[in-house]
Amino acid sequence: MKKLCPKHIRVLGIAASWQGIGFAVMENESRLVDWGSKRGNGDKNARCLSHVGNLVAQYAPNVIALESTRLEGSRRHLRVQSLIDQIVRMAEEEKIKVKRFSRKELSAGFLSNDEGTKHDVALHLAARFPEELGFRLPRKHTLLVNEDCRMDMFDAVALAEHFLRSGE
Amino acid sequence: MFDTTEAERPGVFCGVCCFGQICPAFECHDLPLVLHSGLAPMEFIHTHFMASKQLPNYLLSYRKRSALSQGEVAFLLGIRSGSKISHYERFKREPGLQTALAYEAIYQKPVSELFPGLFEKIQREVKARAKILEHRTFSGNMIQVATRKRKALATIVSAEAKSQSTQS
Repeated sequence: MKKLCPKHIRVLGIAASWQGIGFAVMENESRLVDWGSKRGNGDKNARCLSHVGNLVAQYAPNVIALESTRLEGSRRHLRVQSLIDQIVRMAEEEKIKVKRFSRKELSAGFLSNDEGTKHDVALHLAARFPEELGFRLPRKHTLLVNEDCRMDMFDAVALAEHFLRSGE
Repeated sequence: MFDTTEAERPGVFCGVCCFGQICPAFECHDLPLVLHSGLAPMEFIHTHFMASKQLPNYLLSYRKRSALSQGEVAFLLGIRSGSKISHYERFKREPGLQTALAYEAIYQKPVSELFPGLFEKIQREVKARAKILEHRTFSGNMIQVATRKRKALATIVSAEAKSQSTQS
């Protein structure tokens, strides 16, 4: 199919969690430009927000993809919900569009059903981006061990990739 | 999702996007007839989000892929500290020719792929100068020499931008 325009669409995916944030910058045709996770100590929200500000300044994204926490069934901590709201406000100030996806939407987007775990989505992404993410895949989370902070990064990639794939 | 009441003409995008805003007229003028119902996701994104400029370089992306630290890349480049690497990766500084070629040797990618934004900018400037030179009459030259020159200049002017660097 003919490409409409050679210019670039850049998406910043941000996944906030109790540990900090995971981020991923992707361009059209799912090119992974930057990815990682940032852990915050002390005032976590302020540190994470400052990091998001730096990413916005550096990459000038067109869209920020975030997790939807307002839906029924979301068990995100109030601090994390507040951080996401702050990111949305920052995006509005910078005139960047925001798109939010629920966990179920991500699972349904990457797996055949919406019952898959985060690890299943991470496995899919590691196979999709073997050079970038293949060697960063954390071990499967168990009840006795805290979730690896790298999982935030995979969540962020999933948000950005889901936006580019769905085009919503 | 879309309002398709407005006539759909080549080069004109109509309808209301998923953000509830009227989509801005896009800057491409050679667009084919676009039917919203038949848009592929990437086409939809291209038509509904303002395109952003290409990044000057993808050094950070390639370094993260190879799992090298800034200090290690600095060592490979023969630079004393990793702070220069940070400046290159954050687009605050442009490396010299020797460093650019060293980057090519490290990441095994041509310079134009490592610095697509910079390459595109330089290519645009060269094309503009070639157009000026094309319109000059080469009075002092023999016909064969003038023909050869014109052919070389036409090649420069018609060269496709390599900016859509490959995702490998």
